Amino acid sequence: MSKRTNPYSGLPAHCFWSRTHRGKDIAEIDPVVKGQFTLKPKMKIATAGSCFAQHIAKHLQGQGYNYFVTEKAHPIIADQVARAFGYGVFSARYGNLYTTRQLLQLARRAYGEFQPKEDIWEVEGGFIDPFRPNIQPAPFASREEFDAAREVHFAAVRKMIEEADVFVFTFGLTESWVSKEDDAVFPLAPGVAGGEFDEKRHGFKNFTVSEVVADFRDFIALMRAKNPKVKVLMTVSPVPLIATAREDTSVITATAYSKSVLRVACEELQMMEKDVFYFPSYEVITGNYTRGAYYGADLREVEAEGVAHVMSLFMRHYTKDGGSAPASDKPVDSFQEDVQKALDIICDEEMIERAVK
Amino acid sequence: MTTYKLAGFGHSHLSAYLRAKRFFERTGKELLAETSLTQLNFKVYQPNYENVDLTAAYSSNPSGEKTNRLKRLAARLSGGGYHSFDALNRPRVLTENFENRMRHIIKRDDPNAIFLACMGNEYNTMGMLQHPEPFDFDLPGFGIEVEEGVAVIPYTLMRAQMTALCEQNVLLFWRFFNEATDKPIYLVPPPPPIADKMHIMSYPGAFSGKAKQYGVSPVGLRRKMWLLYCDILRDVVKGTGTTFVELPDPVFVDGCLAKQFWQEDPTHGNVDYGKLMLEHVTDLAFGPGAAKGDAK
Repeated sequence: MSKRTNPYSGLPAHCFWSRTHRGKDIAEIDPVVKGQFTLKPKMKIATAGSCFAQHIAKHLQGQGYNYFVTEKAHPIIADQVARAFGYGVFSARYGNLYTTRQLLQLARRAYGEFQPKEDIWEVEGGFIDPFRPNIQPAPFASREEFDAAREVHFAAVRKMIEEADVFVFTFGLTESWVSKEDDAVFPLAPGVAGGEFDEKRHGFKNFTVSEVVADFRDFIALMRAKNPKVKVLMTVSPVPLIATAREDTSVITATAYSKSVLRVACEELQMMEKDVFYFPSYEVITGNYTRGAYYGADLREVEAEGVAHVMSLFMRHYTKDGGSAPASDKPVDSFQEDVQKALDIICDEEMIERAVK
Repeated sequence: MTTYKLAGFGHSHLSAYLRAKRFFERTGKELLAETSLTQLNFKVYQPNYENVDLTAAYSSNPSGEKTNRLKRLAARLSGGGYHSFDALNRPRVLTENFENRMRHIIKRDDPNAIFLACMGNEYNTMGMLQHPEPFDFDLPGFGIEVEEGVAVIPYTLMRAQMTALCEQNVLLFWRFFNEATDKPIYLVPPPPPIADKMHIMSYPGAFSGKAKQYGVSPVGLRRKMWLLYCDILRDVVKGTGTTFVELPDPVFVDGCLAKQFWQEDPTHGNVDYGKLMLEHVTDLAFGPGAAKGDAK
């Protein structure tokens, strides 16, 4: 006679609501259960998606893992300036990719399979890329500069697709704005950060579970065709919508819809696709055991403690020792340092005194 | 007879002016103004600046009252300075001691106008030595060719980089003086680059060793860096009580520093350069048509 008297008997503690959080500090609660693979220091880890994916990128970089950046600013450009221009924020300089349709279209554009009709916005002072309108604080100065930057960008996207060992994607939104001419998806409504909104040419689109799943599967198929061994890790952004375009719907309800769709899509994708896994950062931040503690005063931005909790679980379950990668022996580029030292000496008063004698 | 007073403040590039002043004093030549020059890199004024904890700086004023120092810092951080190059939240500011000394000098000398030759080597930081990954950029409107076979940095990005460097250096000083005085300010750029690589290699100064190791950048890139630097300063002071000083024609040969003004080092002007510029600045400030020290 079996000792199990019902299907729940003998299941591990994480299967039971009360046992997951009772008597524990919120920072100790762990809904991950088990990592699906182990990151190795040399693995090229690429990221894309909504804002929350940036935290993962930054943390992995800080821990010495091989955060795979295929579109880098020239080393003469200081890190702070480069970041303000979107370098290193994600693996390539695509800015936030809020929807899976955007991701899929980006990949297709990079391989010349899709050419949106509305492809550039001319504004005072230059040109804006409709598909990454906030990538830099000022427009591209000329059409030539715009075209050259896009060429570099597409090459970087292709490199990321073809060479990444791990691709981390954070699903952000379902609501988006599309071109009625060819269904090109804009990350922001035309008119917000460039371009002009025209209801004859632009329409609102709220993606469904099946559309999100289909788009992501198409993307994975495209990526795998060029990079069969890539592992994919999915997360859902816990950041609520800042606004909904649905006039008859509260942003609270719209957020619930959007996040539910994305969460279900991840579950389905995980079941359908090999080497595609879900990491529950969304649950870590939004779980009611936190009593909202991980959100800032605006109840939207995620506090540093929340990010730290997510990342500690990520490291615990997806790295060998749960911590930093071994120190790299990569030589540090000392050119700027050398020049700066020389110029500091130039400005030194002894030299001036010598000069005025 | 001199009736006006001109006060100059600056770092290494002020040395040419100082030598010129001494020359004029020795030879009895009178300028349109009596000049006093303050070399900010002398030990007595060190340190000029420090890095502050931004959060602590703000929280030390719980009443919300903002000192001029904090106001300037806020203007800089919100104005495309990209939070300087320092660790996040630790931007560079002038020290209080330095600011107090400068205020004292302005009060003591009571000049009719001020000129600034502060810092000025930012453009050399970017372009003097050949980078191990050679690069170039297109500067709109000047028709200077872009090198072939090197990385081309977008103009917008290069401008942002230079702006950030300026904000952390020359503009740090300009913002202070602009707030500290009502007198007209004349912002003087450093000399344009020396075209001749051999001169730089022969007199590498502090670049000794480094110049041999890396080589000197092509003159086109160095010229573009200087032009970009000047354009940024020109833009920033537009609409304020500060005049950006356009260098007089004799300074240039093909856009670079004329040979008669070369100092025996890679970046500075010589005493003749100082003489030309000191006269130029006093003419601008006190010659026919000048504001002659009227309040801003």
